[in-house]
Amino acid sequence: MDGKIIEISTEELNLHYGDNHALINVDIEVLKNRVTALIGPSGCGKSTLIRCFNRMNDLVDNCHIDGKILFNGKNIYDPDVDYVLLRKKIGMVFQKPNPFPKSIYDNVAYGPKVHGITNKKELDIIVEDSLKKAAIWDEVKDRLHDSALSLSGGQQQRLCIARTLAVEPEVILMDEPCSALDPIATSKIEKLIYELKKQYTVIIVTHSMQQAARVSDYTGFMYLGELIEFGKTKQIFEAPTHELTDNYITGRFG
Amino acid sequence: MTKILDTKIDQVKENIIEIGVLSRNMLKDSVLALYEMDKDRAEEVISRRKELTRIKKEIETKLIRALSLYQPMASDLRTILCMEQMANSFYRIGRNGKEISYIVSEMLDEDHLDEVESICSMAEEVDAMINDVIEAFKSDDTTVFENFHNRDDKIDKLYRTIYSKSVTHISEDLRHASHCLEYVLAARFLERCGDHACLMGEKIIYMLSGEHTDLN
Repeated sequence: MDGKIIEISTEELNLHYGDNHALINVDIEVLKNRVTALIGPSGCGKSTLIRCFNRMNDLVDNCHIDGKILFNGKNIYDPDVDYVLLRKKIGMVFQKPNPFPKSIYDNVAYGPKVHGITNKKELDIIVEDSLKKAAIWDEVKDRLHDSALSLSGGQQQRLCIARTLAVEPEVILMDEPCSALDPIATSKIEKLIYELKKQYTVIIVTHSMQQAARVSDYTGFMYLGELIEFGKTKQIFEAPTHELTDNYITGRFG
Repeated sequence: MTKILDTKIDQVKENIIEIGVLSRNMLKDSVLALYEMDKDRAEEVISRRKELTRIKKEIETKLIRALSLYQPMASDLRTILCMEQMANSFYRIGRNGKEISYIVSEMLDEDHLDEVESICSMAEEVDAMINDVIEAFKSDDTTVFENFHNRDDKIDKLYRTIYSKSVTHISEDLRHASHCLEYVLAARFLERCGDHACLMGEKIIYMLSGEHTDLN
């Protein structure tokens, strides 16, 4: 696609939760250093799909996956894959900000510590760097040892992004990262996403059509477990080829 | 599922057909007034300009509201963009009808030269194209646009014929200058209307398919 590098791709990906066929023959190619948005009505499988990318669905009982998910060409469900390392490479930000009940500093330093970094100076650099990249450094630099829970919702969400960045991921998955935020906090996160793509690959699930249109380069529309249409965002929102996509984007169902 | 925006779009569609019919008639009647040198008819066409402006403004207001309140996307967005162009083009067509009527109201009461026949042929073709645009917009059927390119060429050729005939007439007898200039002006207005019909055709195709085409 455009001669760009494919970071994550799936081949005939099928996922069952027990009898529920939640993903049906999904083939998608996610490009490196691009923002890819997944849209679709509730229950269409978009969150399930991004949860496959860092094997979060392993934690779900009765979940059965067929097909391939290639990350930099390697199937992440191969038996020799270390899923802890995988989740370091593919970080995730959730719908509701979920900082640890610890200080701002410790939230960001937690990941690097788990992965074996103990040197204080090194950790200081990582914390500052991550908070800067998440565009929250100026707001918290004088109170790094305050509780993360004292921050506003929008700040907490950017802290969670900083926490994700601290372990040097390649891909950041975002599952409706702005749905609990006000418009100002939302616009800060959107600006941040735009900045992040210079260095990372971002996949975002969103219910806001306008948000998908604003922040993403590529958009996939999912419906009843299938990837109905995938293409450049400007094409999907101006002239989608599939009638279902048009009906969803224009608000005729969903 | 129908949405509030669907109702709003349907209302503007009716306004578009309304301004389409009004502007088409203004143009047609202005050429009839020219042919018959009927100054009363010309005055009557000029008086319709207020209604033309009123509908155009009403459409603009409704479209701005639809854009700001509903942030339309995909086919809704294309429909709104198409209607915006159509409102503009129909407004220009109506205004060109008004301009031709002004020419008639200033005309000297002398016999026509044979250019007037070419003007009538031009007007007939332009009128048919405008009508086709209105019908295509109503029916979502764009097949009629397949030969718009040729029809527009025919209009352009007629314009050039009128122009060169007028130059000849003026060089033969300067007393023809007034009439000839009026013919060239009127023909120029009609030629522009043909272009507007093509422009609207392009937008209707875009509205229905998302494809950008070039009809002239």
